[in-house]
Parts: sequence; C-alpha cells; structure tokens
Amino acid sequence: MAIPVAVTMAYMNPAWHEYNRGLCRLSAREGSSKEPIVAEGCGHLIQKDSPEFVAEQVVKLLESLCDAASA
Amino acid sequence: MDPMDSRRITLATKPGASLAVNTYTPDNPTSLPLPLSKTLIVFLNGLAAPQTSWKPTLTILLQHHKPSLPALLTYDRYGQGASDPDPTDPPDTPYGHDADTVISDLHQLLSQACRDTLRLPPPGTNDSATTHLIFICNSIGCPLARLYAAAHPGTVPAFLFLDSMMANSDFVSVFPDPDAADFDPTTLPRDVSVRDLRHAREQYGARFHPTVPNGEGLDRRDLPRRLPFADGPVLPPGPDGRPPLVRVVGHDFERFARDGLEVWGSTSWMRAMSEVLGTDGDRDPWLYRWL
Repeated sequence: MAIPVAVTMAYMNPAWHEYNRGLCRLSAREGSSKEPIVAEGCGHLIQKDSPEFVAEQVVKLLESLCDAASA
Repeated sequence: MDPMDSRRITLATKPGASLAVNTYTPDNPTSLPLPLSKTLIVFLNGLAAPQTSWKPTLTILLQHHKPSLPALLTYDRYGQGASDPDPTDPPDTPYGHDADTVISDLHQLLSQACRDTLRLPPPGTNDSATTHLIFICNSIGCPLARLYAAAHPGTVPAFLFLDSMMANSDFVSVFPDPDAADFDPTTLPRDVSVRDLRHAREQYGARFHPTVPNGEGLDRRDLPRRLPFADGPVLPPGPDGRPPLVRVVGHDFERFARDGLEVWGSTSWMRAMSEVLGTDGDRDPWLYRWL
C-alpha cells in the first residue's frame, strides 16, 4: 500500500525541505544557494525526471566558478 | 561516436574486481576557461539509480556546452550497476563496507583515472597542480561527497546536491509516534489518520532506516554519526582557500508525494529484503542465503 499523499505532504516533505535548507548553510560562499532550489515536476531521482534541469544547473555552477576565478 | 569513453578499472588496492567507469576528456583542455582546464566533474550516484541515470544529462552537456566542459567521470560503486561487488566485503554479513571505504575507493579510482585516462594530475595532493573536483550528486551521493571533501580539504571547489539523502535521519521519527506518551491525535491534519502514521513509519522503517541493508553492500549505519547535522560539519575550503560553491536542489513536493516510495526506494531486492527483515533481521540466516 502506498504512503498517502497527505502524509508525505504533512511530514516528509517539510522535514526534507528543512534538511535541504540546512545544506544551504554548509558553505558561506557568495553565490551558493541561500534557499533550496525546487526541481519542478521532479521526484527524488532528479536526473531521471529532468536531465535538462540538471544540465542547466551544472552549467550555472561552471559559470559561477569561472566568474569567481576571473573576478 | 559516443564522446564518453567506457572502460573497466581495477583498483591497485583491490585486485580481483573491477569498476565500470565512463570518462570524457576534452580535446584541448588548455582552451577551457580557467580554472576548468584542471577540473574534473565527478557524478555520484544514489543507491537506487546507477551511472546510467546521468546519461541523458551528459548527452545534453556534450551536445550543447562542449566548449566550456571540463573532464567528466561517472562510475558505479562496487556492488552497483555494471561494477563487480567489493572483493573485500566479508561474506557473512549484508553490511559489506562503509562510507569511509567508498570514499577511499573513490579517491583511488580518481587518482588512477586521472593518471591513466584523463591526462590530469591526481586530486587531493594539496598543491597548486592538483586536479579540482566538482561533485554532482544525487541522494546518498551527497553525503558521500561531503565526506570525500572533508577527507581532502582544498580539493573540491563546487557541489551540486540533487535531493540529498537525509544522512542524519532514521526516516521513521519524521512521523509522530502514535504510541508515544505525549501523542495527541487531535493535532493531526484532518486528512491524516493514526493508521496512516503507523503505515508510513513501518514502510520507511523497513526500507530506509540506516540499519536496512542494500544490494550494494554499502553500510549506512554510521552515517548519522558521521554527518550529524544537515548544516554541519561545514564543508572545507576549495582550492582557492575560500568556502566552496554549493547549489542545493530539492524534489517537487507534489510529484514526490505522488510517486510514493515505489519509484525511488523499492527495487525488487529492497522489497524482498524488507519482507525478511524482522527486528532480528540482520541475524536472519535466510537473508544471508538470499544475498
């Protein structure tokens, strides 16, 4: 039997989001996520659900690194 | 022609077994924008999705962003996807090897791949010639990346965390315990019953509690102790001496709720495992035979 949607919405999602907010505090580096980015329409396996989104995130990360190096 | 180069690598430290590895080496790394000429992007899988899950992302990157793309590496950990089981796993337990073993194997793999395949200096040498590592990770790959960076400060300038596993959670206590002395059923949302809570606690407990083994043999039991907080221990500085760049991505709430646990947490071995795991599951002789 599946976990009812309401249970996931009431407990697991808020706990996970709070965890992701904690990860945002792992580095004080400017340009890092201040709040988690939500991958719209994606489940847990984000690279399966939207490779386009993941590719875009990788490119943004590379751009930020290059900007920082040339600044 | 596939720009990714597929090969099997036997670690010098673990003869008798090989890892399935895919790499991309830029044609002309010196034309890349600094500091990407000395960078390797490493993709770290979750438990449920091996390196093949990155293929569509790699295809997009290689088709549309090749001029600014540094070297890339994906691999399956021992016991996962197309790689052999860890040859040093003890035969009489499903808890084959821990996260520390995974990160030292990863370090060995990267050192060999840089030297033999990628034409890069080995990472983690703490000098200016070292290769910088960017970790793109899903699920348990995220805590593994944190542990690798902690073991090799000055090596990792950037992380992309894609729905990190909650490394400090038992996944059960996320839900209120209906049997707790202070449990008050009137505080439940209207569309959540006590029965629902019991069911969720049971299902998450059977599949995701850190004591639940997995087909890979990756022992998760000490992760809550190793990474006790989402926000700590903080990540060590990158190669430029500054804190690393971190992008944090989480799942879509509604999509995740609709998926339930089947999509990400219930491969056939997990289902079979949760059926045989009782309170004394890790001592169940049937489980050893089955594994």
